[in-house]
Amino acid sequence: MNREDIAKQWLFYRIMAVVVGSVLLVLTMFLISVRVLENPEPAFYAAAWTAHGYLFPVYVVATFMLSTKLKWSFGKTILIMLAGTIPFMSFLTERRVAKEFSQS
Amino acid sequence: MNRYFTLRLLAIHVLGAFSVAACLALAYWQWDRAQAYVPPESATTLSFEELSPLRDYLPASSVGIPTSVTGTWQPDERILMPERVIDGKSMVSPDPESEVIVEWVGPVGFWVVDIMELADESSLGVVRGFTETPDQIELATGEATVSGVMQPSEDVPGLKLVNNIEPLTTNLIVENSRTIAHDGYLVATSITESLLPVSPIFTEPVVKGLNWRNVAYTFNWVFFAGIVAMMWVRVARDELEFAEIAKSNADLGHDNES
Repeated sequence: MNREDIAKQWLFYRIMAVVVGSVLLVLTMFLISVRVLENPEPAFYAAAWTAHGYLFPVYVVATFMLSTKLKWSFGKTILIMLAGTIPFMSFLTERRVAKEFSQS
Repeated sequence: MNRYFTLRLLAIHVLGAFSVAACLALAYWQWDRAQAYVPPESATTLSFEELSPLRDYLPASSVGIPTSVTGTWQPDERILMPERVIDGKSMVSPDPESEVIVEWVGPVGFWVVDIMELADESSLGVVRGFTETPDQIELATGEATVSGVMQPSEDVPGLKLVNNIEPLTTNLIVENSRTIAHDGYLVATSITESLLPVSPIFTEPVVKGLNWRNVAYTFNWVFFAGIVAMMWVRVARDELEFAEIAKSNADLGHDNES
């Protein structure tokens, strides 16, 4: 296994986990504001959700590439991918993966 | 069993093909939604709630369909749209790409837009009529039932007004509403004292144009289908490699035994 390659994939995954997690968190707050508190939609709202729709697949690619390097099981890979759809979850999984990564 | 036809590999192919097909089906669904500009077949029987779903875009098939709505006028708030004429269609630019200037023959004045609050606590922008002297028009008050036709927000793709007329958009109505507002606005066809009835821009459902948000989602799903296909190929290739390694290990073992 080429450690440099893995380190690159690890960094890619980490950046995407933080970016997707942060965008999702902010958008969820706006979602609550619009849907629950019935505030008007901000101008960037629709465009931001669309952008998130394109960021998430990149996170999925990052997770998949890391999973092939670290030989994760199929189930684990899918769970980590799905974590990107739940607010806060991608931060927690990123921490867990970081711990696992530092031990390997 | 042949190494190319193991159960695992078969499962990978079934899952991969299903996932790619699902992504492409979702892309097609979004593409279909993007072109929801289809004339209705029996929309005349629809109630206002069906014509104008809350928290969603005004369906193109609802545009221009006669309806009626009951609610209470929001007090102390009015939107005046200046530099307008009675005939909405004549304000539409024939060339949305450039700024078209038109000399009006008839009167130029204001479209009077009042906000109606409905029973479900939503708000609806209602163009009550045309006037040249808005100061003389009293604010609408109390409960009322208004007949009219729904119109899309005037910032929909492909629609541009001549003479740089300020468009009457959903955003403008939202800014002046106290509760969540419907997309688009209603042009009243009921007679209002001292106001001239406005002729709407769209008298029938919009038949062309695309909803950019759904177009973006369409490509989003195509992108996702590509990623899933890439994962499918990679997983299948790894599976074959493992099978190859396992086979050569087994062969080695066999050789050692002999």
